[in-house]
Amino acid sequence: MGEEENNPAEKLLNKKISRREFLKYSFIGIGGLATAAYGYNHLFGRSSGSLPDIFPASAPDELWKWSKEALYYKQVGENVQCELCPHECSLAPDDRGICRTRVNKEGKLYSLAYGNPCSAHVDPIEKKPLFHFLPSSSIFSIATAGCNLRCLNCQNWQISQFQPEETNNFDLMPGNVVRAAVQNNCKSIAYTYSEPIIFYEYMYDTSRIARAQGLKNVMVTAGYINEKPFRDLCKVIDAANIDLKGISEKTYNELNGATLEPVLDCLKIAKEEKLWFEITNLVVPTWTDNLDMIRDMCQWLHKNGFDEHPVHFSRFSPMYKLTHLPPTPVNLLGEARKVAMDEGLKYVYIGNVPGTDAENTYCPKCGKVVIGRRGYIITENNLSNGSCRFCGYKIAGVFQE
Amino acid sequence: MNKKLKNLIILVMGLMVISALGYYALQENIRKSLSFFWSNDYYFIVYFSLIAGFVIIFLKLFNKFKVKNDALKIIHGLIFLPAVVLPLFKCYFKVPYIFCRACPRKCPWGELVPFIVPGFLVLNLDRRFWCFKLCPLGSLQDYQRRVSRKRICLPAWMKNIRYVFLLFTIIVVVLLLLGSETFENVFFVGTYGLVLGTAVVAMVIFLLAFFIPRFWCNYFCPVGCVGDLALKAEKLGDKFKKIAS
Repeated sequence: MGEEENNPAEKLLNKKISRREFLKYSFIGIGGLATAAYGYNHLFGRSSGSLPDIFPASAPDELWKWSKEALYYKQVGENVQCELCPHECSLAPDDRGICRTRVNKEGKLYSLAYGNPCSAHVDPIEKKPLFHFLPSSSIFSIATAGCNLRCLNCQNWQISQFQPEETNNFDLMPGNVVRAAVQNNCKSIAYTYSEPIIFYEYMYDTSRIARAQGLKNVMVTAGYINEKPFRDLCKVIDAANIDLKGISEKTYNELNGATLEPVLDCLKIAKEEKLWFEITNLVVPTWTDNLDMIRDMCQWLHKNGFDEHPVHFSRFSPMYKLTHLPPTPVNLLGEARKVAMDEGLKYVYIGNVPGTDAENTYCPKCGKVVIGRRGYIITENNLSNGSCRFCGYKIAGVFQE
Repeated sequence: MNKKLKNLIILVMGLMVISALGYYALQENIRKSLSFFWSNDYYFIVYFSLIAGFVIIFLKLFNKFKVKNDALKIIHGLIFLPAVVLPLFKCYFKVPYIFCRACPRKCPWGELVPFIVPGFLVLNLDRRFWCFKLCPLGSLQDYQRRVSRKRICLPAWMKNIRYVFLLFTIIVVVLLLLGSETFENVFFVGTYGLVLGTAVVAMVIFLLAFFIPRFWCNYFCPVGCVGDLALKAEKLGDKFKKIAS
């Protein structure tokens, strides 16, 4: 007994606890370990943001007729590395890329979105939205299923978040797209609704045929594309609407499943390639509605010389995974527009809010209405050879074919 | 130093920390002004403090740990205080702390809650160790009681209010896990800001804690309620053991 008292180790080993205490401390110990493990995984085990992943072993057994070998990829043994967008999916045989349309079949990368649009419609061009490009004209709009982003608020999620095999598609090869556009008296073709980057080859081939027949080509995109494919594309398209979803990397990760830098680069490349483009920013409550963030975005646009490119602040409608959020308050859109104009942007519009004066184009010099709009309808046009009729100021845009 | 004076100093310093947090929290861009608390550095500090709590329990078990309660309360209190107190100043929901799963832009509490609340519940298995030794709100109320002489006695039945809060919390958590959006919409405020109702209730609870011992803990807190039930179960076990012997 005396020896035990002098020996702490003995004392420790011979310490008596009751059965209940043993059980209690066992629970606490196990609970503590579980908490530690879960907390470790929660904090340390998180991958960067919420970037999406490829679909392993998801390619169809055989390629269907609406397939085409992809233009931008490299072979790495039997694997392929797509080079179309910044995800740069690395695909083993029979894997499918993040965009849902590209698959590795026998060591080659194929697009499954070629000639099979799931949407084909004639729209007013203002719907894209494009306000400074051939106003009041009709545009033949197509889209296939798939997208390389994962926007929680996607308005077209029923086609963007599905594979081409899962949607009802038309059979409309590039030549037939152009024929259909001409038959519907459309001056241009829009690659829109989902994300045209993912049907790049289809868009590219159709654009070349359309150009040859005197039609214009418009791309409505999130801008998440690598430099080379985009520069090549700029040679065959005439205008674009590029989404700038925010100026925060974290927002791009968590709201859109992408990263910010490539989109900013896309805007700069479009400017270098002298492509006419307009910018859309969807103002999502609690995500992108912070006026400081909007100011930062507008300052970036001003600093990089995008003053002459129209910016559309679009109203969010609860959709897809953000149905618990309310629509954007209209006054907030007005404030965002004011912030943008204070930062030097000349043409700032509010979208998805019918009946607002912020749909009109005002001359930056004299302030008069140059193009009046109510929804998609032009109510007055005071342009003269692309200039303000009142003061002669050259309004940026493409107003004549 | 006089004990009462010491308690008063600690209480005043705690209130100054909370006021400073509140001042910066009420700025428009809270994530800029208090960005440290949204950083992984702060989350790691909280994580390791929680693990330290478990280690302390086992060291005490083997009589290997002797640290003054005040030191434990102050250190853990300061570490956990920002995460615990910030939702009172700004939240997307009318009832803070429990809608984190549905929150579009989580605060430090929301980021940490998946593992710290289970951690609190497990720590409470040892005679409500979290509540009485580590919880910043509990410690704050302890110091409030120590500086005040007056006492208000509430009827015993009022302690059952905490079971209502516990039940409400469980219902919310389960419904959020099942993806119920209608329920969230009722409580969703729409902006990340000060919710007047929350602020008023928090102020009332804070003031009454000077006169009612551990007012939040004994009458509202769901974590304390579960800890108390575990304590009652343990005492019941003792009773049965006595009867059996």
